[in-house]
Amino acid sequence: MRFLLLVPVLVVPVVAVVVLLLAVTRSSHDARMRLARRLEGRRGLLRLLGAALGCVAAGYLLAEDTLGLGLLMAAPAAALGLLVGVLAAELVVRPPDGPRRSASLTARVASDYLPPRLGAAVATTGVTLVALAGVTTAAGSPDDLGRPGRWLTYACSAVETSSRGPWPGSYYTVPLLLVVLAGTALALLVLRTTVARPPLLPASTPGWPEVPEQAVAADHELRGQAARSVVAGLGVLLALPLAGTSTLAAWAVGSTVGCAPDWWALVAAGLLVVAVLAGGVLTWCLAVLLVGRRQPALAHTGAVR
Amino acid sequence: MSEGPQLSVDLADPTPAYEQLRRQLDRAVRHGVLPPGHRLPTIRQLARDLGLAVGTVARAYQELEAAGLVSGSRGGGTRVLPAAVGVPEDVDVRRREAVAELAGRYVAEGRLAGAQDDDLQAAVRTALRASAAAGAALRS
Repeated sequence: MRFLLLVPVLVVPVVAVVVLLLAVTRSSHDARMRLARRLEGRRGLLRLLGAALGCVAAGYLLAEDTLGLGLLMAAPAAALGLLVGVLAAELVVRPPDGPRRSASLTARVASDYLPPRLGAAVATTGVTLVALAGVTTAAGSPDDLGRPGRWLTYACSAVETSSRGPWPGSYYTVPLLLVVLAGTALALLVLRTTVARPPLLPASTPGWPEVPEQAVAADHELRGQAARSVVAGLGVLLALPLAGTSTLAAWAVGSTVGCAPDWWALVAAGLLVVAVLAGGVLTWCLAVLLVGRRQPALAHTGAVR
Repeated sequence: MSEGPQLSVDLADPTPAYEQLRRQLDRAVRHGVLPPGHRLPTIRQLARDLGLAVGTVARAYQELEAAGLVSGSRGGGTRVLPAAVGVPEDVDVRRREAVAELAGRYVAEGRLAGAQDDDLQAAVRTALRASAAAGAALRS
């Protein structure tokens, strides 16, 4: 029965693959452009396969959830799959192999392709998540079965304590931070690969002076799209756990009533604000991934012909 | 994005690839196409874009550095040195001389191929139109 949860996450990528393939196989009189579009179609397929793999992993984690750990890890797993797909798509671009080759003398750097505002929001989300996870880990205590970092316990007096759980202590934050670390490292690797890979359309054919300039613009746009996907994927990986962690912490802190100091209510309110902001970043990232501008970059390259 | 100058390598040419790169970069620096302080692509980027070995591009960069045209530093990349470009008047003179030399070679090679004056002029006009169209399409 739980497997039924996987059906939607499998159907959506398959439909998207079909739509993409239809879009990239439009007729063209230019063999080079056709080859480039075919390559871009393969790259799109790899990206979708990565995303589908991530969705399947997320579905599995949700279906096999243990004490909320699967719920916490589902979004990072989906984002990791997406990043792997983008990485695979960047790696399939091979250097030119014809006798005549051209290259731009413009140095490429990652900052040329990163979306500045989304990048800043994702970086802030990451710093906030690590800081909050550090605090909640330090404040965690074992639950009634002795599992470390699952409850928040406050000593009201020498004899009376108040406990609430689940609490985002080490039971949740240690695996979460490991995944965040892996995801960030993977995102940096993908960005580096995106910047360093050869152009999609190498200017290897003599006698076509207009194509290389067009190719540079198309290639720049495709690298930008990949960088936006990476940043948005990393944003999903960070924002959903931050929203979950802060909501859970706000609930635990806010419900420890009776003996906790009054300022805990303010902390709970602040944590809820963090959760709302994280939700905003999550929505932004999902919008970039799902309905982000997809320029028909390669179509421009055929305009001059 | 900015459209920049491009390098071309012809592997069918008997001139070694590093020498082809060195010549083109030397010309681009001396004629002011690459302004002082311009950051060249990393050796790895250029090697991947051209499908060449890293050592091939590194050798071209080393020779340019030895000639005092560029300066490389760890982390700062390879940049065009101001002294390599010179004053604007010199750059203009050198550019005119280089274009005249290229035009001379073009005419000579064209004559050997049997082209008449009209053919040569038409080919230049076509190339200029194609280049302008490419620039306009890129900016649109």
